[in-house]
Amino acid sequence: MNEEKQKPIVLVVDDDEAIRALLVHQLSRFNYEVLTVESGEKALEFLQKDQRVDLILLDQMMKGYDGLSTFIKIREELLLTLPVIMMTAYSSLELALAFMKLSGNDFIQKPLNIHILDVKIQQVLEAVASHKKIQDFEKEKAELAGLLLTADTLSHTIRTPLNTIITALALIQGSENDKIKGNLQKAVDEIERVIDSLNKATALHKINYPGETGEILDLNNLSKKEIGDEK
Amino acid sequence: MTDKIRVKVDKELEELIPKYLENRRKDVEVMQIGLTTEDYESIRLIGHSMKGSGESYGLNQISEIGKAIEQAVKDQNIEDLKRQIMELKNYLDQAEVVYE
Repeated sequence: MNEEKQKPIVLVVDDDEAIRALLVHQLSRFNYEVLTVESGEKALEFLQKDQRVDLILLDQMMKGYDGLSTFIKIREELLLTLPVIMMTAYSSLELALAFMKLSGNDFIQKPLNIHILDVKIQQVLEAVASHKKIQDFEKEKAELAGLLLTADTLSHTIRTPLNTIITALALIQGSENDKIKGNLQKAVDEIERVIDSLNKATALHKINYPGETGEILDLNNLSKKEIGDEK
Repeated sequence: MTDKIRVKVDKELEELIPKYLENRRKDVEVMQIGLTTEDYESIRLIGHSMKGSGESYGLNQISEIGKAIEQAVKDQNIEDLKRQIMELKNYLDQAEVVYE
């Protein structure tokens, strides 16, 4: 359901004027916006032009396309996945079963009980919303995984020259010149700051996607080992 | 046949019921014509429709008669069909809807 909307929009497809009038009146009381068409053909025509509908309430027994044929065309020709609840007579239970096997969302028997219908609509809309949330989450997770992989690759690329610099600094650590020692300390501080940032990026990646060992490489310890801990 | 039948209906449906009953009276006329022209399929569809709508409006008797009309056509029982159509006519004449 479009979250910006205040009321879910229900499209009623039924060739019986009495049922259309009843559903417009009753579902409006339950805070739905109700649109109606009087045939399966009109429903397909409407859905091609109008994308606002949140749920279809489809009668099974209609002149022209019956409910099941209309449902199949909605899925296979219009490629719409929006939820559909079938309205069936008791004698059409076999068709209702066929509808459910074809991924129909739910069905309700006529004569209609408006309270049961309201609950069914709510349940179907909530199920669709939950499914969408899961899909959105999986999509975000995949995007994040891509970003983390990029960060990890970048981290490795930067670490290699840093380690070379750390080794070089360790070699000149023995100098007696105070100016050199001062500059050396500044360089070490800056390098450790960069390494700290890299560790955070690497740790974030490992938390979500641990490597074979699952261990986080501690670059701070590595740097201290290489250049000595003289701070 | 002049006794009134009190029918209790949800007050929320008050504005819909008069038109619904008026349309059923029209159905009676259409079905009576259907009997003379032997258009039983049209009568069956009307019966089927009433079966689904009557009780949805809280008028259970209309659903029952609609079901019987549909069945009579399926059984090709014309006498019963005539009887059911007359029963619907009487019901519509006698029904006194009380909204609660």
